Amino acid sequence: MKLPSLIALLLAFLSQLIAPAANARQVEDLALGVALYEFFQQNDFEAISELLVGEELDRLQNQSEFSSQLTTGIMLSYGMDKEAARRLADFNSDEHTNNENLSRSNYYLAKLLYRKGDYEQAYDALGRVDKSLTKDLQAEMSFLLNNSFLMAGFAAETGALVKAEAPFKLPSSKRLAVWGDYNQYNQLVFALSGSQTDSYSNTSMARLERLAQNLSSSIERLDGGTQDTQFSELLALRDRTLLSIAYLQLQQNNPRQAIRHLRQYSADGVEYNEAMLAFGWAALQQEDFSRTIASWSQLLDQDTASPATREALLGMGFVLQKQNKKTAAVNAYDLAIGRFTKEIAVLQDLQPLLTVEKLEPFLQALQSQSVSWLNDYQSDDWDKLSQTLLDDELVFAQTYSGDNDTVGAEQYMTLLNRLHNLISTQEFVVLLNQHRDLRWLKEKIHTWSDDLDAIGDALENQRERFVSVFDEGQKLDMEADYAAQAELIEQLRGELALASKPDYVRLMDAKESERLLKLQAIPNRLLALRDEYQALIGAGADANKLRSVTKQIEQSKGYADLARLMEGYQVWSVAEQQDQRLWDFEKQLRTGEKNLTLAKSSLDNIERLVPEQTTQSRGVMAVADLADRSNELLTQLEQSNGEALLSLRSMLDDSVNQQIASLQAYLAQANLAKARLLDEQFMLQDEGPQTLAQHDATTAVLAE
Amino acid sequence: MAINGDAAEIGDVAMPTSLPAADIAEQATLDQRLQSIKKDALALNRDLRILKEELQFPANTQVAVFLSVDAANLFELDAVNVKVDDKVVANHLYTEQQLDALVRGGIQKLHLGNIKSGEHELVAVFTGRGPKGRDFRRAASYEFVKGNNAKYLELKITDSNKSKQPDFEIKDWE
Repeated sequence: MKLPSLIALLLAFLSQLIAPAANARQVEDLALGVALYEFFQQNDFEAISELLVGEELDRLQNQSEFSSQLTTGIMLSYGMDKEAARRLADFNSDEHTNNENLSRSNYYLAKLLYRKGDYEQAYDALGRVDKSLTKDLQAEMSFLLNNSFLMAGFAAETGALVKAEAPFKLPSSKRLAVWGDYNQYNQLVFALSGSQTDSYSNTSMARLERLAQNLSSSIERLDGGTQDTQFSELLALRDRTLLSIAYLQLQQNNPRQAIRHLRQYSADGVEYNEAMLAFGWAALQQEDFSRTIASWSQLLDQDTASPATREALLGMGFVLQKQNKKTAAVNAYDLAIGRFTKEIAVLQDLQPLLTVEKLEPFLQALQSQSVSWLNDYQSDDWDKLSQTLLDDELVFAQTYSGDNDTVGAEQYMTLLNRLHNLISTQEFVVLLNQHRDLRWLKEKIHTWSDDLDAIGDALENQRERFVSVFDEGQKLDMEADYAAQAELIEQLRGELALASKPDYVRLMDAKESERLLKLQAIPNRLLALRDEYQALIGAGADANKLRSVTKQIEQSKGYADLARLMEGYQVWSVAEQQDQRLWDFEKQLRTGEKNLTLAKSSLDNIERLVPEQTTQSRGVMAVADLADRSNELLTQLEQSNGEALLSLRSMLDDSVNQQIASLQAYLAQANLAKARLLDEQFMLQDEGPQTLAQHDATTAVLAE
Repeated sequence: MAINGDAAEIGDVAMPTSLPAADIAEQATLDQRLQSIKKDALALNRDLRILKEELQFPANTQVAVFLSVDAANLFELDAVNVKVDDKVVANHLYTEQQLDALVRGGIQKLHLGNIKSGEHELVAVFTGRGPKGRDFRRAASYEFVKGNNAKYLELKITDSNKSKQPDFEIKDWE
């Protein structure tokens, strides 16, 4: 592997590791704490939203500057370079910004510039960072500083290795030590790639070897599982260092040293194939052909999609040729030709599938991890694959391949596997991330639309309630009801006051009063008769008439006695019922008062609901506005998603073409090598029927 | 091709191919548009959240419960259960990632709801692993009065250096 490419690859890899680290600190605003909680879980969108809400509602009063910077930092991490740059410029031009915040701001700015590839500017911005930068950021800061120095070309200009001193020492924390190792690796590889003198090169190589040893010791000390992030990072860096050393040793024609380092490479390292390939070349330099064949044979068992396998396929014939095993070499070239031809055919079959319609479901499945099995799928054994797939994966695979008439399901899996391999390479990362973000936002907007619908429904219910409350006729009814209730209560109170006095007549109902009046009339009737009797005597009335009146008087006396008795009974009876009657009045009064309170509350409610109605009206307008904005956003998302898919399709198409071109070059070389071999044989042998046939074959191969 | 055994050439095909200029330009345009979409989406989400809070959780009835971990040497949180006036309002089981976020200074919003003005009681039950990795379960309660302003309560897990035991506090942010 060429060293400059190696550095570029490593830096590209590392730049993804750089996320804005927010240090753990005493949180003085709840909203900031909630944003950090989201951010630490890599929910950038939610973290920024939380901070923006906090900013809007004035909930970040205690740590407003820090919160603002954190927002900017997370925006940077979320790929919002433009907005982050605007905010940083505002922040840096603010004369009230203190040193710590200014340092952090410049640090974020440097990250942004570094990511854009403006290393010189990034280096300048880092020069404005001082010791006040929080410790958690210092290791990464040092890494950025050194890399900016390297990438800006200062190292080449000054002829020095990295001398860009950070204003502080690297923290000794084990968790952060890996940054220092990355730094060292980059510096050394960079130095080795540009070194002019042997002594300088030797020193750097020795330091690189020491780095590999130190990393191995750290790994042994950690003794962690593969789940441990720090362990995995150290292991990956150690492997990368070993591989670099091995290739450098190969360049310097020192195969023994190369093999020594390759032997330490992890069996499950990401570049294991490259290590095996290098091992084969190192053995070849030692003319240890059997070891070359042994290591490359392992590569031959793997997919032709692997570049190392292609190299091994081609190299195998070359090794056998060196061993003078010409027939075997021809067979090896034949194998390579067959494999290259087949792979070209697979890629050509893949091309018609590179349509936007086909890519969309594939990417969806890819992003939801439901095609992770494609990564491991290296054979065309459909039955075996069917058994290992989970239900949803199988459904996806069958659905995806179901509408293809020309390619069978088994072959289709091979094609999907190739597509997956292609799309997993570095060059697609940016576009895939963009597509993932677009898709995520689209789903999010659908959720928001549901929320808006729910809020809209609630507001509609509220509106209906307001309509009934604010209805003028109903209000008048309520007022009349209130007045009637109040009057009734007054009346009841009067009744109660009277009823509580021992005025039995007042307590009687109408019938009772009528009866009493009649009873009271009886003694009056007696008096009238007595007066009549006196008048008859005075007028000298006859005895019969006087007897008749006397008789009536006697009868009336009896009635009067009876009446007095009855009157007494009636009064007694009324008195007996007084308590019950008072209780009834009391009850009526209470009911009346309750109704009066309700009527009053209803009337008060109208006053109280006025501001609520205002909120409701504003809510309705806000919902409408948000719905419009979300629809507009959805349209933009659809459009951008379409563009992303088109770009992806175009890039994939180019990539497949490049792969085919590369394979055709391999194929041509294999054919040429085979033809030369056959030609050599032809020249060595006498002419005859058999050799003539061989000659024809050679000519055909050469023509091809 | 490495048929001559030149190690410097090995792996050339493994290098990522650089993008054609036109693709880079297209990606840049798409990136600009995506950035603009993200900005609009964030503004939309902010406004939606504010509206939801204003309409669904007005300040005079709003109560929010938060959880933070100040130090985590003596207690490793597994789950928390929160009751307000004897009614469960939040129940949460923590993932490793969430715990890490809490330990690093994040604060979790556990519950957002509505309650009437007046006196209330909050009870939180924490379960996890205490000192020496033993199962640990502890409750904390707090009586509070809800007024016209939004009520924010923070459940804080701290290490008590004095007793060498975890401490569970409830902080009223009013």
